[in-house]
Amino acid sequence: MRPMLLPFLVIGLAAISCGGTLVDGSSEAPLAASALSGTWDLTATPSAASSTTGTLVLERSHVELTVGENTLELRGAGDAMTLTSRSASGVHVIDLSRASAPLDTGAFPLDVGGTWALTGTGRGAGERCDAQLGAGGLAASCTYVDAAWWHVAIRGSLVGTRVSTLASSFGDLGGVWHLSQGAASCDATFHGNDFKVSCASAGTLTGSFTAHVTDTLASGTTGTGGEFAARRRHQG
Amino acid sequence: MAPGKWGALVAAAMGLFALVRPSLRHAPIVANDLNDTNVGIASPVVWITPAGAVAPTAIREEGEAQVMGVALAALSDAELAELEIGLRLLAARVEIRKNPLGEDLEDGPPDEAVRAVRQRLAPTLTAAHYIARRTASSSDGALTVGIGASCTEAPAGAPCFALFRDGVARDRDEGENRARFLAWPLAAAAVVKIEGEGCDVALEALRARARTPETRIALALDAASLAGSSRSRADDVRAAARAVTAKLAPGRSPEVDALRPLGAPAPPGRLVPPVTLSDGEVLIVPKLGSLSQLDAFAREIDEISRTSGPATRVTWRRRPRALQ
Repeated sequence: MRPMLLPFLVIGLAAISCGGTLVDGSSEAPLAASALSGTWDLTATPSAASSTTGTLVLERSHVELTVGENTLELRGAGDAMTLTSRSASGVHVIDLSRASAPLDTGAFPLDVGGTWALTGTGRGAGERCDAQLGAGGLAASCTYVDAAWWHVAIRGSLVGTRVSTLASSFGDLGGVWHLSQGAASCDATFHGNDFKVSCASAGTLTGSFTAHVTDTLASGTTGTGGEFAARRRHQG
Repeated sequence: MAPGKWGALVAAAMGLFALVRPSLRHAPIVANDLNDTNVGIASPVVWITPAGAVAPTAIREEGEAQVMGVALAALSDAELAELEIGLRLLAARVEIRKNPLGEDLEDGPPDEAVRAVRQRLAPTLTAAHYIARRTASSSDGALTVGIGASCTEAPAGAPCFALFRDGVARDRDEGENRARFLAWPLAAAAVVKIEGEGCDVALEALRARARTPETRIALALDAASLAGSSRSRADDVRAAARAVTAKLAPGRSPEVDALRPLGAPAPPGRLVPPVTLSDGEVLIVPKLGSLSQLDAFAREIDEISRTSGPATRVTWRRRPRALQ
């Protein structure tokens, strides 16, 4: 997806996978497993001068984010999935293969645990990452990621470690995570139904983001004044 | 970022609440109706517009001047005064920089100061942008809604609902709930009534609170502002903004160009036409980014009311509930 909005919404997507203690200390019931499955209406203001709307589909084997004519889609089943970015600039496809491993993601429906191989095809030829995601950490090694397309430049090793554990609606993701790649680093916290992340020297991801999610609504803010909210359409 | 003196001045204005707050004490908010039935206030409405339908009265979509009008109405008097000073200083800096023999002694280019202030005001401008809209559509185009003061403004046959919810029985109506989300600034808004000797101070505190980083409040708009009454300090800000933009031709600086709507005359008529409040009532709009935490938003208003002076009484007129 081409627009500079992408980092904001990608973080928003991450936030929706996160989760229940209110900042002011009031407790909230944890979300049920896969509670966030469904179709979400999004509205976001990446800056005070602009606003946008979109749709996010979250299912066990399908994630699709649509903003205007731009679509980012992860679809597949079992060991084979495809990540496709469509925009006015064209189509960018990454093939994913996975050897699954147990990872409880709680309210987040997508099964993401295991060892992943991401391989660019077509215009994405040459892009390659290998990653492992488990309850205790994330490790990825990338030979090349097209920053002009994905807005995140990754070349080399990305390491993420869960440095502490917290109760969360997102199962094994609950806790404080530290991620680093070269000079870039991020600290992310999944606690209750809250998520927050702060990144330094991370290009377009530099800054902070906080979000809160219920089984119907998600919303959050960035450190630069951007905001988003999402509402899950009721089933049936 | 080096915001320069203007940014510092405005930043100082944003910290006004810290100065005002110690003078506010006691006066618990009175919960008139915890079930969220609006108390004696006319609810704005939202309707689902059928494809091709025409409203009985054409809805005038508001422009940037309306958005800026809402934003200025939401600032405290002290913030407006500091903003005017900042704009006057910015105009002087722009003038100096136009002169090849002049020397701008402030830190950083003027654009940076504008960016710093816009970032600080971003939640205010965001909420002002959304509340000024009279129509909204879902991204898939499947749902378009209109927002008005009464269902008589809706096209014939259009499903029309009160935005200040009147019970839980209709929560199961997905179309209605989706429409409320599109009309979120009013669907999620609170209304309180402030009475007593300290009401002006309490209103200023609410306004200033909305510029603090941790708040869930985006806008506090009183009945007079909603009725279209522009405060003189807001008019002074408009004049100061015009003084800046008059010094640079359009296109020379995106940041200075962004100030042009700020210099537009106060919009005529009601500021937010769907909402009419009585004297002393205040419409409080949450941040878009706080929509999933409306309980915490309401508790924050409770906390502010508890710091009001003993001669001030704050009463819930509409306590928001979580959107469904």
